[in-house]
Amino acid sequence: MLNLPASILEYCQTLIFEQYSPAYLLTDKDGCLIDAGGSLTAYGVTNLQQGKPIAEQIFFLEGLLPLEGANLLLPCVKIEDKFCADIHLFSKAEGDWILLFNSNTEKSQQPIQQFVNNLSLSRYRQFKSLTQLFEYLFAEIERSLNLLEGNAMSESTLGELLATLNILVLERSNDGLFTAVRVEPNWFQHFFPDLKEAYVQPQKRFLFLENFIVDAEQIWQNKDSKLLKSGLWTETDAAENEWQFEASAVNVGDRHLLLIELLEVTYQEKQSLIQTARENKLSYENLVKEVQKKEILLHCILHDLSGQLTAINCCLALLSNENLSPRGKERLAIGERQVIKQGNLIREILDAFSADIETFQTEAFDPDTAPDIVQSAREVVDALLPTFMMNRVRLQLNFDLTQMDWQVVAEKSRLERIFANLIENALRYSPADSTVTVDLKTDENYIVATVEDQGSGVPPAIVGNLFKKFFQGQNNPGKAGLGLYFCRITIERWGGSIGYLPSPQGGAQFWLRLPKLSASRWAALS
Amino acid sequence: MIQKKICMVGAFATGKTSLVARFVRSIYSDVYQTTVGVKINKKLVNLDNQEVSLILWDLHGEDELQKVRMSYLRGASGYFLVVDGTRRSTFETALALQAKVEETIGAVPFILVLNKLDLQADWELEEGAIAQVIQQGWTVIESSAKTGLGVEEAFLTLTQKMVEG
Ligand SMILES: Nc1nc2c(ncn2[C@@H]2O[C@H](COP(=O)(O)OP(=O)(O)OP(=O)(O)O)[C@@H](O)[C@H]2O)c(=O)[nH]1
Ligand SMILES: [Mg+2]
Repeated sequence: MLNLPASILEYCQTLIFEQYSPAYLLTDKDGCLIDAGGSLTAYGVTNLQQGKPIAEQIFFLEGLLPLEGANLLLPCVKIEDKFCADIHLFSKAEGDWILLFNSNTEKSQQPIQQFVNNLSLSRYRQFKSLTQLFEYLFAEIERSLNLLEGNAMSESTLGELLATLNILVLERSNDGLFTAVRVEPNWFQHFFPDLKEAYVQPQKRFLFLENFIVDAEQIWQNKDSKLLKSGLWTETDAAENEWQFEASAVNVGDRHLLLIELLEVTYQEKQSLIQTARENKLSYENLVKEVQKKEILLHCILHDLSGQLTAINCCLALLSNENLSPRGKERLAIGERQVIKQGNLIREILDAFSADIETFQTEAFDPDTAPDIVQSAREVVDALLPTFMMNRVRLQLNFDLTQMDWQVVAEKSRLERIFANLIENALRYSPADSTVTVDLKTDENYIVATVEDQGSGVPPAIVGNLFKKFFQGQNNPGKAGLGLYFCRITIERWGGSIGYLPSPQGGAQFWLRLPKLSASRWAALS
Repeated sequence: MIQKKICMVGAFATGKTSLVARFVRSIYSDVYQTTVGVKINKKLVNLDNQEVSLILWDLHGEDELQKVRMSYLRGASGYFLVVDGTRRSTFETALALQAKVEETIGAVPFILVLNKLDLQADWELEEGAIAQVIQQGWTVIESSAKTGLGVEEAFLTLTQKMVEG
């Protein structure tokens, strides 16, 4: 044994007893209890009976005994959420020994493992959102390009083509005469000046048709479902102009139709052009909407991505204060590198799309779901409190408790996003131990919210650009530059306004003003 | 009374702890509390009028740097391989773990659990890969610890398999 003075041995013994509450069990080769002792109650073990199988008495030993071969070490075994033990099992001539020690590993390791796992999950989710974003954007862009190309042509050709769809539709009655089914095309007058005549014998004027109608009769009599085409022929009008025609015979239900078409562009071409033109016109309208939606989506996703990144950064910063093992440090360094990369990536996306369309359309405001601004502000404040605490900045929400009328013209999730934006900005510029104050005031028609920090305020030179798109503050090149822009356009869409005022105390103060639901024209509707 | 040890095995954050919590205590939380080491819980089930006491070992999850400790599996009569349907890599982890577990404790009954069924819209598992393991004779059960769907079924099916031996 160790050559230690008796006092030290005694001290060690006390230490082990106090810290590790050791307990032991001895079982025979059939797994039945021979002997037991130590702090068994510390592991919830009582009422042991010698000679009985141990697994029947201590459930967490099920399956472990008798030991076959190698010794077993089971660290950090948490039993029914009550006790946490390191369990050692080893074999000796007298039987199998089971040693139980109180384990402290869980308490110390859990938070670190939690950070690491959360980090991995966040990164994976980010990766996923980015991939989805890219797939979506690329598909969208490709589609937009196709549509724009198509539309350049179709907008001008659609009207023209409709005007030149010069088809005369005649129906053959049982007496062998024809009647015009639809409005006659322009050319009809040239050849059949007497439109009043109800029954027409086109073959009298278009001699070519005499032959064709004989063949056509077969189609009509047999109720054939196929289309018989005459092929091209040419007619000369009174002014000696040549016109090209083609006729077709077809059955539609019980009706026998003769189509006479003036050919300028061949029918198929026309058909497909009209088809595309119509489709394009429809999708052109959607396109405008979707480009706008895309922009919101882009902004929202990026906003969320940067938000998460900030959270991850916080975690990493906290982690670096922990007493990390070399392996832990290695992981931390990987994490930090990834965060930087991710930040760069987000910036690149922004650069790539900053030239996109400027405005987007209003989505209808729904008065039935108009949010309570106090509640929205409170939800955001609650969600941000932990981050604030981590940064040692206080966050408080003030409003007049006696007021009841806080519903505003807005949409809940966007309103919350706006608050989150403003409050997160305030945090970014807040020194430690300062306070960010969210204040809500109401007057007759409007509610004014302010978010005030005790930082150094916005330099006057850039105040004018704060709410412009892709504007980035001087000290935070990593940020999207869309946050305040998003706030402005969104709030303006609700009929409100947003602005910046230096706070009298020197910090920054952002304000926003939204119409109260009760005072708005929507109130009448709901 | 019959007593059986069951291990929950899988990548981290797949829902091992949540499945046990749902089965043993009928509770669920969206808050993620990672497991360090192993948590043991007990649950009595009734199978064809026979009481079986299940000793559930909820192991810590596996990630790139921390492997599941095989010593925890000693004496297990069956195990669950838990996969998070929304993360394809957890399926690969499950396959690798299965091989390791079988090497350590031999061929005992197990079930592949595809968890987070409530998030099926976000699932990224390949049907082909799953069809393949089913073809190999694996039992696959889809579950959601959140809604409880498939949880009872998974535990009872495994118990049945263990009791039949
Ligand atoms: N939506 C959904 N979430 C789930 C489900 N099961 C678990 N989760 C969530 O997934 C996260 C991880 O769940 P846990 O049960 O702690 O996972 P675990 O496998 O025990 O994780 P480790 O102990 O770290 O290996 C938690 O946030 C759970 O709330 C589910 O069926 N559906
Ligand atoms: Mg767990």
